[in-house]
Amino acid sequence: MSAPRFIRRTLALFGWARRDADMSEEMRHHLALLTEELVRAGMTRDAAITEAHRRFGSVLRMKEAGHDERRAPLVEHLVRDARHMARGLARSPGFAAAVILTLGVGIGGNTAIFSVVDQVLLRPLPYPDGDRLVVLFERFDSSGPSLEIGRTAPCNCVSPANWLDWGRDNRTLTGIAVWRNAPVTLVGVGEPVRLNNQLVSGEFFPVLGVRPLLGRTINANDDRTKMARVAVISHRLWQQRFGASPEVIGRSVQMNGAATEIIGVMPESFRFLFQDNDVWTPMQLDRTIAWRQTAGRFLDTVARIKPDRTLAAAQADLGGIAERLAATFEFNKRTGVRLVPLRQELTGQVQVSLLVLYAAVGVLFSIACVNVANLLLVRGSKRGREIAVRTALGAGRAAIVRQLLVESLLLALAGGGLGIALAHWSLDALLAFAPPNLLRVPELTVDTRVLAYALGMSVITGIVCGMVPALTVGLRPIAVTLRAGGIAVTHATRLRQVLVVSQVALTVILLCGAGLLARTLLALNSVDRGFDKNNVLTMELSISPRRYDDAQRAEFYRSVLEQLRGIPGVEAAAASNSLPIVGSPRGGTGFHLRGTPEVPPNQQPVTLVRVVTPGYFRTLRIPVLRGREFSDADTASAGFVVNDAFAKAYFAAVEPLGAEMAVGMQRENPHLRIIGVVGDVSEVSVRQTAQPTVFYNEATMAEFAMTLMLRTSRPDATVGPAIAAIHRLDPNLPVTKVRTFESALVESLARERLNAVVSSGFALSGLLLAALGVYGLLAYIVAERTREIAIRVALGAHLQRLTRSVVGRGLRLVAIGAVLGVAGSLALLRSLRTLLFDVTPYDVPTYATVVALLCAVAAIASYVPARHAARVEPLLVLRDD
Amino acid sequence: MAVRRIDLLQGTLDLLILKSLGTGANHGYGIASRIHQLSQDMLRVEEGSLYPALYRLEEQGLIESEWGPSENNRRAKFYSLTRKGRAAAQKEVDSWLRLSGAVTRVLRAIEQGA
Repeated sequence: MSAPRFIRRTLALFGWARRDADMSEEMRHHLALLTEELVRAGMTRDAAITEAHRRFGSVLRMKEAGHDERRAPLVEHLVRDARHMARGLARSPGFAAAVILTLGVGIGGNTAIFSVVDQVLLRPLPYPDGDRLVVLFERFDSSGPSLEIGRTAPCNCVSPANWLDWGRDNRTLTGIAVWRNAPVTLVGVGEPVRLNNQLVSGEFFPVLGVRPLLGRTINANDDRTKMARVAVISHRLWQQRFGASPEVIGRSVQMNGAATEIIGVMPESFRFLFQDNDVWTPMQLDRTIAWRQTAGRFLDTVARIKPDRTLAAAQADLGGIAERLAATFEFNKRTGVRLVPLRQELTGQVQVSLLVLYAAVGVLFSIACVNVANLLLVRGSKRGREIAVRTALGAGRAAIVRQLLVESLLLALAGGGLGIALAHWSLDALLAFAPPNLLRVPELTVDTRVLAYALGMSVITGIVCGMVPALTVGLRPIAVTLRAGGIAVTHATRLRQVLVVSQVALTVILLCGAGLLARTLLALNSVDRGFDKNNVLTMELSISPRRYDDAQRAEFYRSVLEQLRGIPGVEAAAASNSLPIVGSPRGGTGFHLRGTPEVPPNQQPVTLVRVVTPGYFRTLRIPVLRGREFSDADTASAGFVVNDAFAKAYFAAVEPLGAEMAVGMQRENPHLRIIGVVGDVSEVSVRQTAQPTVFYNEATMAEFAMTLMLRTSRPDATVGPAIAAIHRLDPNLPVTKVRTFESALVESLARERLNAVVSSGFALSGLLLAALGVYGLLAYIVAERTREIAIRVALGAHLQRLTRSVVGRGLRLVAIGAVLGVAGSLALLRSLRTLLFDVTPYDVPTYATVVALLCAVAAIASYVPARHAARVEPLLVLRDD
Repeated sequence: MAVRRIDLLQGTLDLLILKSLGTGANHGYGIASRIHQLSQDMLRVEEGSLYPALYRLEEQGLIESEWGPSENNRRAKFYSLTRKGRAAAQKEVDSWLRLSGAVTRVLRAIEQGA
C-alpha cells in the first residue's frame, strides 16, 4: 500500500537534495559503463568519454556537469543558473525590458524618497549626542496670546529674563544658549555681500558641542557686553571669500560697518537649523538689565539635556521653574515653557510630507511588484512545458524553483541598478526643486546606506516576485502540464486577476491622495490674497546702523523710492519691513485702545505690526476701505492704518476712524489716531486668514532692513536700473532677494508643490503600471482563447459582442479594484489631513475624477486586446491546429 | 551493420523495461543493454528517455530501486519489479500481443488483398 500521492510529493520536495545526489551517481555509473563498452569496441578512452557524454544528451549533460552536489558550493550553482537564465532573458528582451523598467521605476522612486527620509529624518544630527538637544519656547495658556504663529521661521519668543532664570535654576540641562538671526553686510572682502548671521550667546557652541575646524569658537568672554567684535565663519564662506586660507584667523573685516575679527572656521558639515547661515557673532546681551520691564520676548533657544536625564524630566524641571516665575512676576503670568527636541524643530515642517511621500512611493512600489509578478507568471505559464520536460528528465523541483528565483533576482538586480540611476537623477531634480531651508540638508546623495537599501529592496523584490511563479509552476503535476500542451490555464489566470484587482485598488489610493494634494496646491494658488501679485518686483535692502541714524534711515529710503519711481515702466514703489504672506511673521505686539482700562503688558490684546512707507497699499493694490493711506506729508504723529480684520475685531460697533491707540513697539508709545482701514491681506501664510494688523508709517519707525516693492510693467527690465539707482545712493549696499512677488509666492508654496508634484508623479506611474497590468492580463486571456474565439466567429458570433465581452471582463476587474481602492482611500487618506487646504480627505470630486480617469484608461487598456480578439481570422486559426 | 533506429511508441518503452526486469533486478545501463541485445540491435533506448521512464515507473509504484554493488564493483542503483509491477507487466504484455496480433492480421489481409 503506497502512501497517498500528495504526501509522497511533499516528501519528495524535502528529499530533493538526496534524490538529486542519487541521480547524479546513477548517471555517473551509467556513463562509466557506457565508456567502458565503447573502449572495448575499439575507441580511445577520450573519444569514448566524449561519445558517451554526447549520447547522454544536453539536459542530462548539464546535470552531469554539476555532478557532485556535495562538493560543488552553492555559489557555483547560482552562477551557472544566472548564466543560464541570463541567456534565456536575452532571448526575450521585451519581457526583460518590461520587468527591468517597471522595477527601475519602483525601486528608483523608493530609493530617492528613502534617501531624503534617511538624510532628513533618520541620520543623527550633526552634533555629538544630538538627540539630547532641545529647543525651549515660552508657552502661553489658551487664554493668552499665541506666539507660535506659523512656525516657518524662528519664533523670537523667549524673554531674556526668563532665559537667565531658567539657566540659573534648572537641574537637568547642561546649558541653555540663545540665538537669533540677524543678517550682516560684509564689506572689503570682494564685492559687498549680505550674509546670514546668527547672533549667539556664549553657551551656544559649548551646548552644540562642535569643535571648530580652525581657530576657536565664541566663548563666554566674547559674549560680554562691549567686548571686541569677533566672528566665526562657515566653511563655505571661508572657501568662497577667503580662499580657504588658514591666515583668515585673526583677520579683521568690516561687518555691518564695524571692524570684526575672525576667530574661527567651522567644519564643512556644521549647520544650525538654517542651511545658508555663514556667520556666527556673539550676541553680547546685557545680562544685568531688568529685561521684564524693558522688553518683550525676542530670543530663540537651544539647550542640552544632561546625559543622565530624560526629556520628560527636563520638561518637568523647567515647567516647575516657569510656574514659580509665573507666580512671582506679573510679566510671566499664565506662561509656561515647552521643550521640543531639536530634531523635531528641524524637520517638523517636512516630516509629514516626507512620510506621506514615502508611503506613496511604497504603494507605487507594490504596484510595480504586482506587475512584475504578473509578467513572471505569464512567462512561467508559457514555460510550463519546458519546466515539465525538465522535471520529467530528472531536474529536482528545488533546482527549478532555484532557477526561477535566480531569474527573478537577476531581473530585480538589473531593475535595482536602473533604479539607483533614476534615484540619483531625481534627487538632483528634487533638490533643485526644493528651496534650501525646506529639507534642511546640505545635499541629497545616493551613498552607501542608500545603496544598501536599494540593493536590499532589489533582493527582497526578486525573491517575493519570483516566489509567485515558482510556487504555481513548481507545484503543478507534470503530466497535467504536458498534456495541456504547456498552457496551464485557470490557476495562474485567477491569481493574475487577483493581482490586477489589487493593483487597481492601490492605484486608486495613490491617485486619490495625489488628487487631494494637487487640489490643495490649486486652492492655495487661487486663494484671494487681497492684493495684486502680478508685475511686482521685490528686493531687500539693509543699511548699516552705523552709517545712518534714525532720521537718516527714513530719509535714505525716501530717496531710494523716489529714484525708483523715476525708472521707466515703474508705476509705483514702496517699502515694508516684510512681504505679506511670504515674509517672516512677527510675534504679537500688545496695544492699548484709548478709552479701555489700562492693563499690564501681558494682558493686552495683541496685533501684528507692519512698518510700511507711503504708497505701500497703492503699490500692492490693497484697497483702502475707509479713510486714507500714509502720504509723504505725514509726520510721526499722523497715526496708524489698520486692516479690516483689526477693525472688525476691535471696532465692531464703533467707528474705527479717529479712534486712538498706542502700540507697544518702541520705548515711548503715544496714543495716535487711526487714519485708514485697508483690505485684509494675510501677513503670515496663504493658509491663514488675515489677522488683525496695524501698519506703522515708516517715517515713524524706520527699520534698517526693508523690502522694496515696485509695481512695473516690465519686472525683468526693471532689475538693472533699480539696482543701479540704489548704488548711486550707496555704492556698498548689497541688494538681495531680487525676485518678483509671484516667484516669492511660488517659493513659499514649495512644500505643497513638492507634495503635489511628487505624489502626482507617483500616482501617474502607478496608473500606467496598472493599465499595463490590465492590458497584459486581457491580452493573455485573448491569446489563450484565440481558438475559442475563432470557433465562435466561425459559428457566427457578433464581433461587437466579442469585443464587448473582453472589454467587459477588463472593466469588471477594474470596477472591483476601484471599489476596494475607494474604500481604502476613505480609510487611509485621513492621515493627509494636516497637509490639506480647503479640501477634505473625502473630497467627492477628487474621488469621482480618479474613478473616471481610471475607467477611461482601463477601457483603453482593455480595448486594444479586444480589437485583437475581433480581428481573429477563424480560418487561419483553425487551420493552424 | 547499419542499425536502423525504430522510434518506440509511447508506452512501449515502459513495457520493455518492465519485461526486461522480469528476469531479475538490473541497473539502468543493464536495462538499456539488455533491450538492445534482445532486439538484436534494432532498438536503442536513449538515455534521455530511459531514466525519466524509470523514475516515472518508480513513482507509479511499478518498480522499486535499491543501491548495490554492480558487476565491476561500483555502486549502482538496481531496479526490480514490485508485485504491482509484475501484474502490470503481464497485463501490458497481453494487451500488446493482442494489439500487435490484430495489427499484423490487418496488415497481412491488406497485403494479400492487394
